[in-house]
Amino acid sequence: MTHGDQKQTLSYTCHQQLESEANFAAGRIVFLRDRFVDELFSSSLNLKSVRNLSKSYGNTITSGLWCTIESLDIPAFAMISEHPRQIQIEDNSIRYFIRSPRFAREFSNAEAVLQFERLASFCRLGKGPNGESEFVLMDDNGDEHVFFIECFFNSYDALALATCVRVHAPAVAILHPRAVA
Amino acid sequence: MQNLFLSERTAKDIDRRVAKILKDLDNPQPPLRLEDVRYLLELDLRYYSSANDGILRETLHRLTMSGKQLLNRPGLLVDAVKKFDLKAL
Repeated sequence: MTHGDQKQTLSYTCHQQLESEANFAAGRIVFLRDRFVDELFSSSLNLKSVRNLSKSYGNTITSGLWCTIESLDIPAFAMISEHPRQIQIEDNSIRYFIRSPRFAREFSNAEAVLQFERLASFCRLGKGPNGESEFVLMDDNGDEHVFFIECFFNSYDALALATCVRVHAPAVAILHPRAVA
Repeated sequence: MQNLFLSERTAKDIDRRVAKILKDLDNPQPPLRLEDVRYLLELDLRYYSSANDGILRETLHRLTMSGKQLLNRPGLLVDAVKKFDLKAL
């Protein structure tokens, strides 16, 4: 069976599996196995560094972002979509919702649409960096984590990168006994 | 569309084949020239898509590569003779 088989001879699941394997192989070749992520993780991880490094590897920021997220060992996700401020949310508004292995395992309830709506709440209109923000996301165990998210619009796709930065510790006000009295 | 995760075994299997290509390209600097990859695959696709990496397979690969390269560029033989001063042969 080959990737070019017709829909009649290739089930959707099998097609997806083949596509994933082909994408993985292509990513490992063009990003020279671990070299890309080693270079990336030696500096601070943000959209700008992903963009610059992807360019030096002769590749698109989309594929660089994909490779980055799949190599991360912290909860993180990336989203490639239409500009969140320019459109009504439709089925095809979100092209890719790429999750790190830990994010997929520990945040199985996190829906792409909700994260997309979150982008619309802080993103500016226009091209280039569109803004950044922090938000709290609850994992499958009910623990809250703070994520840092930033968004970049390259005039045809909005690229968002969200990484878990810390466990959320809710602020608790402790009143002095005298103040209560 | 969400990304799918490959099993560890599949990922390692693919990575082993990628490593063979990059090794034969002398672990190049980025950006990778895809025409170099295609050229290698044309020379011995069976080796690069095989999981069999025994000594015999490796030797056969070397012979295939050198044979095909020589057929593609007969000038290589002349270069070798010049380089090693093998005129007497």
